[in-house]
Amino acid sequence: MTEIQADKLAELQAVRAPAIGGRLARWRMALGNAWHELRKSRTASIGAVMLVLLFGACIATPWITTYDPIKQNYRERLQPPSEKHLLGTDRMGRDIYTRLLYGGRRLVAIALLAVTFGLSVGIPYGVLSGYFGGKVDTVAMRFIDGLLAFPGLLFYLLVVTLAREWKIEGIANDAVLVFALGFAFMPEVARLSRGTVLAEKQKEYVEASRAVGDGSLSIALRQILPNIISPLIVNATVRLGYVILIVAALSFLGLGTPPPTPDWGSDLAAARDYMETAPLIAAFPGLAICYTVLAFNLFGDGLRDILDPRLAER
Amino acid sequence: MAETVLELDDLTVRFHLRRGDLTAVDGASFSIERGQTFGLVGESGSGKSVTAKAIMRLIPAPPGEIPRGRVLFEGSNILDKSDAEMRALRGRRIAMVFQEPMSALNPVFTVCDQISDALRTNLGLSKKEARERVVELLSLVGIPSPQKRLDSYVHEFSGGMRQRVMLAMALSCNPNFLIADEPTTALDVTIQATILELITGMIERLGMSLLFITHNLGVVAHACDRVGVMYASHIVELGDKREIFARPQHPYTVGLLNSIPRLDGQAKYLTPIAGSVCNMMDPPTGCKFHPRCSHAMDVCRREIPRLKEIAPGHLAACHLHDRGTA
Repeated sequence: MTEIQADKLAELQAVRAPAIGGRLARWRMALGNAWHELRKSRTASIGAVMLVLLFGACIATPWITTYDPIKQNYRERLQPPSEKHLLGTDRMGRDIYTRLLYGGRRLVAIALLAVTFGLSVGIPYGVLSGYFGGKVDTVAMRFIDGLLAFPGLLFYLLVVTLAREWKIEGIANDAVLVFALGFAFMPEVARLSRGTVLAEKQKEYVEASRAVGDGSLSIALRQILPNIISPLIVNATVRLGYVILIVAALSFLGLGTPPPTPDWGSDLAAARDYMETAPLIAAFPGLAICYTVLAFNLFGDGLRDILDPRLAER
Repeated sequence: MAETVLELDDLTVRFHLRRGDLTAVDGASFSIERGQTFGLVGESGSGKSVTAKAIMRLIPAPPGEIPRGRVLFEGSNILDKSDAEMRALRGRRIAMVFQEPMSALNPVFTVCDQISDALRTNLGLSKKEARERVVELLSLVGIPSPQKRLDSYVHEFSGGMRQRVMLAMALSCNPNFLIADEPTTALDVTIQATILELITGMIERLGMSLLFITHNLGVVAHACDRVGVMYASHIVELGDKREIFARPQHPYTVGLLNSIPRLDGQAKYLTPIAGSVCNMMDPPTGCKFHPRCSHAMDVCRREIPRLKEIAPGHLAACHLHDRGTA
């Protein structure tokens, strides 16, 4: 009779568990949960708010600016902030506020694309290498070691110089930049995902999915990958800030996009000559770089705290 | 005699480790007939789970290796099959229930996604068909109001319910052979009985055969038709459940039975088996059990005893039977 009682008990337990509705409700709940989780970390919530503002400004740029970011106006050179020009004008009489927004838009887009590229190559590379192990893994990881040994900045300089040499301009130049930045991120992603896969593939559910007839590729990419995604998200977020810093640095050195295009790095470099007479012109792009990198780093760090299961307390 | 579904013939599994070679299963032979439940009993590290994994071809190689033996499933040797043939076999013909229902289910998918994944890859069902089948399966394994539980994640289930989900997943593609690797070990006692009942009930209802791996003789007594006792990579005794329980022939089996508490109050104290399991990296010569055996003779230290038929269908591997003394 104990079996029947146990059955009843189990039934009762199951009934008392929260009844869950359809997929839509589930999504809404997930979103609510995400916000709730985010609130746990002050760092993450500050980062999130800063990022929302940043992305909002990037998307809304054409509607919240009135000037042309490139057209010069010598009658209004080097003006201090005023009602007409919120942050003043630069040495060509261009509205700094407008230039900052357009520059940020481009910068964020480049960073997002570069990191996406790095993830989309690095994740499959690392996951498969870790999953298959053995000789495949050894060879694949030695290649990654080789890439990691190459200094990043030197690599960007090389690529940018080559691009200039071969007269790659405009959007193609941006694409080269995206490629270089993404490619430099790839080894890190590959290594991180390989490491987590090594730990994850020992879990019993991997064997269980093999036992129901799943193939290796399907197990690696469809069963394991979703389980290792959180450290990758954190890594990618922090990397976004780093990539923005690199792009700004490159154009500061005059190796990024050529002058008329609004760019925080080159605007900052151009403003150096006016540091004594009009220091604000240099301050604004500098602050913008600071703000953005800080936003990504805060969000990434906070996310790490939230997603790290060792810190989860419930 | 009924049709044989699975036959192990001299199956040997060896692992090449850095510290040396380890033979986890040594010459295991037994067969399971259609509709039969075969219990494989033994303590931790005796090679039960390795045997099960060898049948599923889940032994990672390297470091694992199967130097000899055959695993005949419905007449063809599993060890000769290609990976693709093996994939077609797993899930659809042979399925497995694992010990730890929490870790054997993927934590990031809902129950429905998880089970229907197997259905869709193995049987080619559409998303909707698979979902309907999952509801069917969940109610089959006794999960109340399955429609409501479909989109729950594994952590939202209790241990017993998780094991039901595991079972539903194993049964999803109508296999005719089920391997249950200590399916009740991780559960508490009341749920153990329920799950055990459920599994044996399913086997009977669906006409499947079952290889039941456990270290619990009580579970064997409850669920199995035939029993194999494993000790340190060898099958030391093999026979019908009643035979084994009534007339155990191997000192190890006798020891196991003596160390079960009895409710009818025959003995005041339990008789444990002295010593502990031998180190498998450096096993004793001859019979692996001789260091712990109270009947050990000279021959036990020299020669590995072979399985010999003692009564019809009842085999034991012990030198005591060479002289006709039990």
